[in-house]
Amino acid sequence: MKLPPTTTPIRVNLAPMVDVTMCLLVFFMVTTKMVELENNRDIDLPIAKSAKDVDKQDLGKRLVVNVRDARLDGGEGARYIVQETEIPLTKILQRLEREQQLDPGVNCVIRADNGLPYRYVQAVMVGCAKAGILKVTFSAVPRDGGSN
Amino acid sequence: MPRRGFSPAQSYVPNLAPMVDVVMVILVFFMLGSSLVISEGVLPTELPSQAGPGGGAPVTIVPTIRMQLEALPDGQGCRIIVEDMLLPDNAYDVLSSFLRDKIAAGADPAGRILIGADPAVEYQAVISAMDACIQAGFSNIQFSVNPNLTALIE
Repeated sequence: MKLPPTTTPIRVNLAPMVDVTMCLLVFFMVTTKMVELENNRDIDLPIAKSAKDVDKQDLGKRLVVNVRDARLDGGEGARYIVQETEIPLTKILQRLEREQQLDPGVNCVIRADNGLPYRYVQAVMVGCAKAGILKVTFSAVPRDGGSN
Repeated sequence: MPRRGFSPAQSYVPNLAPMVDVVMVILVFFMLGSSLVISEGVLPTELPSQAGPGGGAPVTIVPTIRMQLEALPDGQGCRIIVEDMLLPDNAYDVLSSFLRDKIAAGADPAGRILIGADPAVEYQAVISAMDACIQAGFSNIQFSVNPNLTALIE
């Protein structure tokens, strides 16, 4: 005698999906934090149409120097921020020299406010020249025009 | 024979569906967040290693084109002087077409452009000038700096 087929409820096994999703989640959380560490979010970058996409550009080992216009915060001059730490201009040269000794091919990425007088940026460039850093990169917003 | 009143043995699986919902929302948040953060570009410059500041040998730079940016007295933008020629104030598209004409007239696009800017000029003006050079096709852009500034960082 043929038995009638038994019906069993079909359940989707979600455990592997949860594993993958958790890995992705942790990845994005960590990368977001790392980007925040290097880049100061308050900086109003200058606009340059020909700026290359930062993802496609191989910057190699880099040291990001954020130059914030202190006038925007009610102060005077400029504030230099490296990896979330504000350091005085006098210490910038030591920092650049140390990075150059660790890796002679280090790339100095300068992120500065667009309204900042050029002399404050120039000071970092002079520091790079004195420390022997050959690669200097300027961050900009690749846009056609208008204010940031 | 199955006993009455007892269901057959079952394996209990925790219901993961609500957890997946929440995790997915957080994942989308961080994905969007990280893609918004990396929305900037870069303008790279590089010195040749044998002639750079670490090369030891004194460097004599003979630029193909020399450019000067001077701050205007009222603080609004800057005056552009290229090869002793005065261009209209803040006219970077004019500068770009001027440089393009130079290439058309036989200037080497790999030749050096030397940008000397007044320390009081806004940083945006310097980047715009560099941008105009890159758009015109020049790739070797260098900056002259005031050596007196070195006193600031020693």
